[in-house]
Amino acid sequence: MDINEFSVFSISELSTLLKEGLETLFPEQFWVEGQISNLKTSRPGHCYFDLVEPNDEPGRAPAALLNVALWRGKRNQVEKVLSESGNLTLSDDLHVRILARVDFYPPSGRLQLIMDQIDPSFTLGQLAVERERLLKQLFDEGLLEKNGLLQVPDVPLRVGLVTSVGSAAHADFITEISNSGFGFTVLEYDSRVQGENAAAEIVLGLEVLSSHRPDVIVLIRGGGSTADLSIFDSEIVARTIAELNLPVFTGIGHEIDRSVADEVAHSSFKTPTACANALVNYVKDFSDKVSRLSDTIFERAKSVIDTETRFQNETRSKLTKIVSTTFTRTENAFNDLARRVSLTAPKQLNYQNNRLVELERRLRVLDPVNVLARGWSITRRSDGQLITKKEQVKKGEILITAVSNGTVVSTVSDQGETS
Amino acid sequence: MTSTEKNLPSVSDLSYEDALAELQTILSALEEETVDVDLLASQVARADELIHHCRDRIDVARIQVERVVESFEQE
Repeated sequence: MDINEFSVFSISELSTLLKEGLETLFPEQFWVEGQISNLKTSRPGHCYFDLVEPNDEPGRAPAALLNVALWRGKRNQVEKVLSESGNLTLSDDLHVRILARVDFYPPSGRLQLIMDQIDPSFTLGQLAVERERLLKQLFDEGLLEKNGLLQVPDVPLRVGLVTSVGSAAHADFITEISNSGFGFTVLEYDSRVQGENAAAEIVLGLEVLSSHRPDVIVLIRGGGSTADLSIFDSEIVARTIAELNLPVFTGIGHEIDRSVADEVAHSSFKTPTACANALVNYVKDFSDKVSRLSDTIFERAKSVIDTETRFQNETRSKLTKIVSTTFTRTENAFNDLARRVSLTAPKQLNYQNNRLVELERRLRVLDPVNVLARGWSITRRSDGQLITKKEQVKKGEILITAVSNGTVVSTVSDQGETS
Repeated sequence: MTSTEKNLPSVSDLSYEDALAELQTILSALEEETVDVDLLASQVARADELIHHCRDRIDVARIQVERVVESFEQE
């Protein structure tokens, strides 16, 4: 090999040739598509990032990468266009189509694209395409409706909250919950809700809170640019929500579109305040239901008591009447019996007394004392035998005769004639 | 009657009805003149005792009846 066959350049000569060659090759600006990575803003306000073409295999180094510079003056224009077109901002992972020129900077030997303008419709389209792809996949896997089928407890007072603690969204949510007057317990997980690693933090927050078994988990953030909210379109967040065994409520602050997180959540609301209000309404509905039941129970109880009281009063009245009647009847019967007793008993006693007087009279007639007093006498022989017939005595026999006041002793002189 | 006389119950133990029945029996016997004159006095004495017993019972009953009737009137 003859070494004189090849040209020899100094670095500056080569750099100048490269610069001129590139300018010849790309005399005008052109559109280039890629994904933003390592976005940085310098103190003077210039933006720098890598425009990458991701590797088909996740986790591998990009298939291609070019440095991009966006000077402060152009950056303001670009941001304005993005904002007006769809609430977009420059951020990592954003798919962009930028208008740029190639620039080679000899002092540092750096090849970079100098960004001039951006096509926001490309970015919006990419976001929409990705979102549709993810939604279809979740639907096919049955994950889109899964969280929505979970039952929210009647009284969801124990709430897990994933948000940026201290943000306006956080303050709005807590204010609404506190003003309800109900005894909510809020378990908070402080998570970034935008920027690098935000999706991973949200996923961790959801899982950590889930382990504490709240009644529901709430994921909120305030409104922001479409790109800022792309976290909530991320697959990992969507899958985590879908697979959680607890109802997830979202209040992500979209004014127009719903994020994928909203789609897979149990319930989604436009603002954190609306989300808090929904929880309050769950509790309020239950409270109202209990109040209504309480009123119904009270009314029914009162009705039963009134009926019973009426029945008892009627029964008491009837009973009093029956007792009174029975008592009167009994008293009358008693009085009648008493009257009969008071009349009959003395009558019977008089009858018995008269009967006794008659018997006594009859007895007095038969009393020997009274017989002797009337002049009759009783004569016995000396041996005491009673003389009732004249044949019982002989002439000369001594007889003893009892009279009313003593005895007379006599001797039989003649038996006399038989009458 | 002579043979049972000694076994007669004490008059004070007799009920009014029994006393009255015995009195009537004695009187019937006396009136039919079936009673030996030797027993007459003792029969009359028994009858007299029976009469007094019955009268006492009537008097007691009368007092009790009067008290009961009084209590009816008080009620």
